[in-house]
Amino acid sequence: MIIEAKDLHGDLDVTADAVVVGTGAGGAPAAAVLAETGMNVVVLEKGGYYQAGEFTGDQTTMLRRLWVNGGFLATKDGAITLLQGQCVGGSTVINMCLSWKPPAEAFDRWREETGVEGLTQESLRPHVDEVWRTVNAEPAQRTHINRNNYVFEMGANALGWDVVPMARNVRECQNLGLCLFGCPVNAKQSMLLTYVPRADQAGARIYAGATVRRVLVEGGRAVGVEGELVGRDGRTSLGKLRVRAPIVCLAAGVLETPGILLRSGLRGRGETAGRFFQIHTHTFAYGFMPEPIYMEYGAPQSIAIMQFADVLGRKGPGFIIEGLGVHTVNWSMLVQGFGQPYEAQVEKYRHAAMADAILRDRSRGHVELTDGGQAVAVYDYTPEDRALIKESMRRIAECLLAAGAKEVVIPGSRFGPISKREELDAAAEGIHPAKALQALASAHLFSSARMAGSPEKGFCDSRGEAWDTKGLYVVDASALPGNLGVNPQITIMAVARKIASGIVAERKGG
Amino acid sequence: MPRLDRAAAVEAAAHHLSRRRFLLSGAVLAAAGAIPLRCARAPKDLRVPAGFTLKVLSAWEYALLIALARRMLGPRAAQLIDRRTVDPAAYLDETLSLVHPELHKPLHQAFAILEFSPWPILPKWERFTRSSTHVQDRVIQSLEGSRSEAKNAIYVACKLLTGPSFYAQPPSWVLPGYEGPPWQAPELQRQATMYPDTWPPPREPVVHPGTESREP
Repeated sequence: MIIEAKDLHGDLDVTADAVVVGTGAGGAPAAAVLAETGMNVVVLEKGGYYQAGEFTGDQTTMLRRLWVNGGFLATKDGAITLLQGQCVGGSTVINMCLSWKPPAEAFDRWREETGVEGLTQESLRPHVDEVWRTVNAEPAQRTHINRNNYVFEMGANALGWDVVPMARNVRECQNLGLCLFGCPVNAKQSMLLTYVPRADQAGARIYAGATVRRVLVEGGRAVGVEGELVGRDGRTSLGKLRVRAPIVCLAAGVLETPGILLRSGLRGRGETAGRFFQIHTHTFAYGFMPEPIYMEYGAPQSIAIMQFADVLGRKGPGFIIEGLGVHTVNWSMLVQGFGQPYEAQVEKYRHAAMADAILRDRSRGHVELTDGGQAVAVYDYTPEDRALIKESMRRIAECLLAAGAKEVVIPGSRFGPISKREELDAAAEGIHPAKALQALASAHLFSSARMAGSPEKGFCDSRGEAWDTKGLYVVDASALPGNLGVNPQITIMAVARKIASGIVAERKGG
Repeated sequence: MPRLDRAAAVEAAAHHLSRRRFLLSGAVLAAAGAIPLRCARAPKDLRVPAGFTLKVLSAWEYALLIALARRMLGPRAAQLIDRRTVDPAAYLDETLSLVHPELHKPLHQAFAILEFSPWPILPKWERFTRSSTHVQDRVIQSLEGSRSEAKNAIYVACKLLTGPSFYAQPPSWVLPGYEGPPWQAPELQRQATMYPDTWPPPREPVVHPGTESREP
């Protein structure tokens, strides 16, 4: 049963075998595994509970209901826009359905950087396979490759680049193009339709509008959590919240999970809570085709250019280009310039084609608390990543020109729209380091309470348990030792399942 | 020191300051009255509509955002804003009311700098809302083209606050030609997934090892 805070009429004070904080790609699978083994599980979700009938396709309403801060979320300096969901199902409700199995290279890198053992491709495989089936991930069918994505397929083919259809977790996708605003026809197999109902059916008590402020610790052991019940608006306080449980699984997101830890005074022996934060930076470039594209309709993302990837056997510099269709809100953020020239580009929306590049960043940042206890991300780029940002934008523009774009725009470049391939190098080199920040975003956050081989290198061990607090587990992308190089939802779900299965096994064993 | 050199020196100093410190020091300057801060009401065309109650923004911040959106978004958008057919400041106010109040702080600081800071911080001698459109454009240009990441962050904020707040609202869609969710434009949705005859036919897809289905 999913209970909204507004229906509780007072405080919530309950006990359970385990409490799971969050219902996204980490929390939902973990809750399902625990509940299905007969444990008494309480699940707490900060956001509201919305179902397909309430996904209206209206940008304003859905941004405010489903996105953290209504979509206005950024790093502390405002430079990088962060895209995160806040509702039952978490970011899986508002993501683009892209499904990738974890690449072997990530495991090697993680082991090398953090000394983590026990988190191997082999040990994760059964969980990846189970997740893959549950969310119905399949390579995109031809009918789900829209004009915008086909522009990039054409461009890649013309250039001889390695291009593939991506897998998507959908059933009977109707090409509405509303993935970012919640799928109104339940085609997207998000946590809302898969692991949350499974946890529910197994008896988990799921509360929406339940904000956790801190973990309760007694004698070095986690014994529960406390926080506040809030209304659907996310800010009206409706009562206090306390759940006592000997197992606490944090999956509140890569900002809020370390936020809870830091507010609880659980910094880790090596001050590791919030450290090692990492992202996949998303860069963009767009162009205008002679034909109408209508990029906002059809599956927004279905084609990937692997030519520049450094995972899955590729030896490129480290980014994947993915076609990306957006609606007017996102389009207005990405179009360059201001005033009349800006408006002239906005008005060419119908002919616009666009892609983003998912960079495997080398940079690391951290998550810290503001004076008032809010979690914020601090992130700056290494020179290597700044070069990668330029290179990725240039390659998107090159692909567009090869596909027949009349003109292309590289965000942050001091050159305006360009129409010739010979101008690309100059345009890319002309990216002003500060101005490049105008078009950077990330929906893939990682590693803010990571697994490692020792307490100095990470907050938790390879089983997801905090080194210094027994019974406290991190089960979302915060626990991953670093970024992946591919879209991460499948990996996050699989790792969460693995950790939860470990908890169950330990419990049975002792 | 000649004026240009001084401006360059300030620019360089700002560049070395962290963005947050830059915002804070600008806001402190404004609060201390070290810069021309007039208490007069905003020009009539920038005022909050009668009967509308702001939740987060102050009246002068509302006026600033209206003035800013008019210059940022272009002349046709400005017409819709002038008639309040689309009100990006009211939209932003509502959205900010969903955000934790502590996260409003840097925005209030950035707004104070933009509205009140004169030369050499910004190329103006009056409040932004009282400056001519020519001067307002010069201020925006100076933020956009600045080598200071702090100033550039203010430009990014201007862009991210005005554009989405305007283009989220249906009456604005006439400009890009967006027709709303697909059930309002079924023909366009159909065309979006049919390739024009002038395009090469698609090749057989190659399934990638990282994305293959487990099922046969």
